[in-house]
Amino acid sequence: MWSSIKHVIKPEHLDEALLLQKDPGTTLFSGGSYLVAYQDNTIHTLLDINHLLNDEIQSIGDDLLLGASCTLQQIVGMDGPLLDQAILASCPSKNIRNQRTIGGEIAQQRPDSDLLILLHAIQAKIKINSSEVLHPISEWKGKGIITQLIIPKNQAKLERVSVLDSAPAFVIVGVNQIDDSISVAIGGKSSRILSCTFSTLPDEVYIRRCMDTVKSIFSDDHFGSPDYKQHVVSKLLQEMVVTK
Amino acid sequence: MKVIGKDTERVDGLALVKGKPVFADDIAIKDMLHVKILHSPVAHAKILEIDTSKALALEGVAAVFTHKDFTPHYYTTAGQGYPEPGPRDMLILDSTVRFVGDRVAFVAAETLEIAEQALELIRVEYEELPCIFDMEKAMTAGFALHPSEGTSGIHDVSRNVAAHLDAELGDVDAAIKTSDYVFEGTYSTPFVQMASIEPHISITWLDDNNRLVIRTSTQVPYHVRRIVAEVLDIPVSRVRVIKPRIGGGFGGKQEILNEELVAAVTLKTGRPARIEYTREEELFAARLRHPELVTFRLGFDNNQMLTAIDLNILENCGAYGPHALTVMSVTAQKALSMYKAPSIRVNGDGVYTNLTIGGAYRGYGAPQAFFPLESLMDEAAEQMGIDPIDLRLKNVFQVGDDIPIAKILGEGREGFPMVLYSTEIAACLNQARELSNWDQLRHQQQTGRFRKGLGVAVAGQGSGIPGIDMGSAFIKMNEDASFNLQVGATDLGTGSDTALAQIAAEVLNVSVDKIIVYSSDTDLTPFDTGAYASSTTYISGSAVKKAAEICREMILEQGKKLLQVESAEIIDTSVVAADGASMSYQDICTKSFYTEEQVQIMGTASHMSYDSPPPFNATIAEVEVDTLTGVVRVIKVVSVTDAGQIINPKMAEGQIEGGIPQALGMALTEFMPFDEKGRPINLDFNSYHIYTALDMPELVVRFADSHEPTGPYGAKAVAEIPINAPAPAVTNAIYNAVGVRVKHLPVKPAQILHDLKL
Repeated sequence: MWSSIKHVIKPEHLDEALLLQKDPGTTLFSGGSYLVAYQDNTIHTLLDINHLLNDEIQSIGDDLLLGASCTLQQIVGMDGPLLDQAILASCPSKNIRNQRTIGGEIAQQRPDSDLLILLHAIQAKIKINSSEVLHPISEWKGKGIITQLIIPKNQAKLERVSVLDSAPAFVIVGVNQIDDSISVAIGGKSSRILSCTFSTLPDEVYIRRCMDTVKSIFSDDHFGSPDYKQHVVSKLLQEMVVTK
Repeated sequence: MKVIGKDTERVDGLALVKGKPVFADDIAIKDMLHVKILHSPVAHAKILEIDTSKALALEGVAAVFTHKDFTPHYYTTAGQGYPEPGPRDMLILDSTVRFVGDRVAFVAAETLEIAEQALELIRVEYEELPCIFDMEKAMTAGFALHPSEGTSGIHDVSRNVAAHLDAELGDVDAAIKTSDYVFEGTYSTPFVQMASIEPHISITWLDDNNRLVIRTSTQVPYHVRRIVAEVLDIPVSRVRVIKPRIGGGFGGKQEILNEELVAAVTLKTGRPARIEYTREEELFAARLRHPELVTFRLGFDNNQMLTAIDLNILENCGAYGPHALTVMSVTAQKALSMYKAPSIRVNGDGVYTNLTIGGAYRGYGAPQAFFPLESLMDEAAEQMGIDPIDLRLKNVFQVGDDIPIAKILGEGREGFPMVLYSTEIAACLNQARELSNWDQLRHQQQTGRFRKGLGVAVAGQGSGIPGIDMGSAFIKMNEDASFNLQVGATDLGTGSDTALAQIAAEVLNVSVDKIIVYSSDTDLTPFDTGAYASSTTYISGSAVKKAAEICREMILEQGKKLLQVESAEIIDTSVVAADGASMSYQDICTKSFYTEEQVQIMGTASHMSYDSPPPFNATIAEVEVDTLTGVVRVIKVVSVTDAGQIINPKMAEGQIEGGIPQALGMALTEFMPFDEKGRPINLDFNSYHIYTALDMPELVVRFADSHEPTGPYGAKAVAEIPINAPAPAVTNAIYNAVGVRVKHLPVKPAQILHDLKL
């Protein structure tokens, strides 16, 4: 552990964890892999919530239900090849996959997580705290503790653009198209994840118009200009979406 | 040969795989202090005031050092022979900082956490100064980054030129003017990092005799001893440097990077001290490959034979100039040692900027040479309508050729005449052509989103630095017919200890497990300039061979005496007389120790060479370009190397397979961008992308049959050669795939997409 950490507390229940979390020098952790990677020196107290979460994996109907403390490695092989591909791309190291939890991966809200882009594209749902209410993952603002993830049946596609297979992608595009209904998620080295849904099949002109928003989430960096990234997203969408 | 050319187990292999405590950091010493450096957050500034009182008051802090604690003594951190060829432009701590990451102060504390906390309590007032971030503007900046007083060896202080070189043979301008074809291009290579698994780690303590012991992860233990003694003003005799196993160096540890700091702590406090760079520090405060902006002009006649090579180099040294002259010299020397041209010229300047410091990195200037040269050769081949392999075959140096640039450009001084006694580059090219299916795939019509292409490049390197690198060895025999081999040569993870053991075993007619290797300890092992410039097998290996031959001769003579015969020979591990009488090694040694003709059978020898035979390599890369995104993936690399007689095929193959991903990184993914304030951006492996096992293409590695008459058992070097050719092979393959000529590394997908000619 690093020098600023003075306490590690195991709250007895989620409500206690939420209460303690209000202290700005406090942070939650389950697998802890991101925590260790970033070593934020403003943090003095760690709240270990791993024992408060479950790691059950269940198939109910067409849905896959995952407890928030499922490790990424536990999930590999549980759904389809696309979910596996997204997990492996998000976290190429098996050692870290054995530690990193699905709840933690979602909570980090990293736009360069292939897994998160896929979950946004397929409109996965989550449960927060002790509530049984399901929230679309794209609507979650980061408040509360994720306890469960529900992965619906999907026909998603995922494309990543990176300089290396092992490197985080600078553009990620996820598309889930079921008949005329399409949901799209876009991320990478971007300021946020862009999610949108279309209830009717959009034409190419409409998609091109949406690209203005895409440009706004990317900055000019050593991977290329926002124009370049917008162009790549646009081209990928044209490849991935079956249009009129 | 019984041992040479065979795969044997590494002499250190078992300890490494069993996780034995073999590395610098694998010892715990009581009462050890932990040292952390306060790095400059600004790129160029004068330190107006530095207040360490709060840090010193923190419980657990043993000492805080600032520039006020040291008498100014300029030195170079480059671990090179003495006198060092580069400028002496650095102080342990200076009142001026010259890059983000420069040393401002350092703290020694009871724990790492306290040391980190203490750094935050040091208050520094900076007066920011104007900066130079663009190497092309360094010479005309109008202000100097270094003082003229105290420093030495800087070529032109006022113009920020750390080092300069120029040389000409023949009349290049006239030759270019009369050439039938002239090709010109300017190319750049980026800052890239060695990314050794083991970072820089040093531990120091005082022994029973109050001598300073430095256990350090270094490629150059003897240079560490000399430089630390000089900088801290203590006699060399008071310093002992121990080099344990090393977790990779690649040139980055040919540097005295932090040994002097921990040594200062130990000398001041009397307590053991330890420093370890974090990965972040490795990336911004250690050393990187010098970026270079290189312009080549190539003249050809109608027979596609080179008439002239004109080379211009601008080297970015960063804030200080360790290796400034010699890296640039190697760029010139290697570029002009590949192809025979009647007229050659080089002009180069290594300039200071307010960026991270350039240092030694595998290839040492040669990758910066071969990317532009081999790119332009590819362009020339296309323009002249000749196959790129055939153009190279027509122009490469042949056996018996004099390589004139070697005489002009040495290691910071005039070099030595060089004749090529061995080259199998033609065989390498022909084998690579076959293994890559060049003739068929090169001309395959490409359509669709993903397009494939093939590119070729050749390269050379050296085998040690002629007239400078020296290695020595000591071998003594034990009564069970085992031998202790003590070498100053530095195995930095390459397996060189095993190669040296094989050489000794071959001479002494014993199996490798009879050779007990110890390297390196400046108190116990004889002098060696260190592991750099691909010198260990060729230079230190020759010293081992000589020492073993002396030992073998002594065994024979001792055997004859004990057998009381005039003549005998060694057969297997016995001395055998003409009448069939024989005496085993064991008996000879045991009798020599205890009963008859008592003497220690041993041999000591040194080796220095005025030759530096180049190993050669031909690389063919196959790439796939995504025309939708501009992203390039390397599918296959064929690498065929002439390294003379291969001592240990498996380890040599490992060298090649290790060099290729580093070269691919420079070609496609690795570089160090800085923001507008000179702050480096890629400070972890999440953003600084090195090739991992997941990313590797198919590798086909072969060695040509070759024998170098000046090398031990015909060996040349193999350490650096694999890193030189892959980058231009990849960029030439990109051109073959999609018609885009890459002139600036790394390849950027956005640029590929922009330049696509479909």
